Amino acid sequence: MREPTFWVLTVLAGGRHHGYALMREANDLSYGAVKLKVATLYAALERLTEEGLVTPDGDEVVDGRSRRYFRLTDDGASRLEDEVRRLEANAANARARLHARATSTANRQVYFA
Amino acid sequence: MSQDNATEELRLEYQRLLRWYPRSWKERNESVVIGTLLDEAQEAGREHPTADDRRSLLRGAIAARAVGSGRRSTVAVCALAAGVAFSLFYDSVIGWDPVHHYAGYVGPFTNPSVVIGLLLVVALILSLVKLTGLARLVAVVAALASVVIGLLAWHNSWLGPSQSAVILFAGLALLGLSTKDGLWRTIRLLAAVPVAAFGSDFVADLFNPGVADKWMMAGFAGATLVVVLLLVWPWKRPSRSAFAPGRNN
Repeated sequence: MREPTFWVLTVLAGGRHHGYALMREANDLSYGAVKLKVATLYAALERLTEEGLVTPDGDEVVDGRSRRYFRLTDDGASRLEDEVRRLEANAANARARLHARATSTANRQVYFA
Repeated sequence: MSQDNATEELRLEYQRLLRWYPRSWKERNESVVIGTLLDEAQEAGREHPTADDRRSLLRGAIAARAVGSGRRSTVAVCALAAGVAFSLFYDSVIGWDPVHHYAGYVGPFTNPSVVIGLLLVVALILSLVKLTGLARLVAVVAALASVVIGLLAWHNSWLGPSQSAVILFAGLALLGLSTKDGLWRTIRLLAAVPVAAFGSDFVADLFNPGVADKWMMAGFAGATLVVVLLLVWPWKRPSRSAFAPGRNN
């Protein structure tokens, strides 16, 4: 799963959002690491809508500007759940390797001391 | 400039930047995308699109055109597959001659129609991976290449492709542009191409001084034209009557 897709699904897991609110929250949740561009966001939303992972949830006009709300579907939540499990497994593997490395480094230091 | 005028000016600038997107995409998304761009510009205190906006919207437009509708059409996929199958047959049986070098030969092929086959393969693959916009573009190029190669073959007396083969290549490539579905429609449209190719021989005979019975040839040509028109005609499926027997009213 690409990073913009992950963040779109993650933000929508928290409830329905319109485009700009979604961009801002993705930026906040990723501690500023993800700055979705408008073109990228709507390309992702269009694709995710076709795949049935998100769905439009009403349009409204605020101050003369059109806003379209999107929400996560059950399929979208399931896909995000799979991705989270995958990331957790990867992170656990990485943590185990780092732990093993730290242990072997400490043992070497004891051996050569 | 007042705030309203500045916003309106910015809205028009964004509208101009979205002009490269496909019309259908704009009908679905233009107003909400402009709304989001205006929200973003207001938050950043900008009065004009940035260079980054321009680049990302242009890239987005190219990607949207490449993807097209993103939906495979049964008629297009079957036509392109038939085109690839015909091309394989043509280039391996009719156009294959690694020994003799006839005028217009390309490698082991007697004429450059192998180029059309390659384009049809590319169009079919793009269509299967749902890059329907690019698939349609390549199908148009394949149809044009068929006509150009056919004209060059006729003008330079190459060994091929024949006029019937050109009609088969170009017709199947053009059907690759279809957005339609349905088994019956697919069969009708695919059948129209070989019938048109067959009928083109009668048309050619009308201009052949060696053929004496022009009226008969004109009759055959007219008959095949009628058959082709019947096959490609956009027949409407009769709507089911609300009072049809067996329905609960």
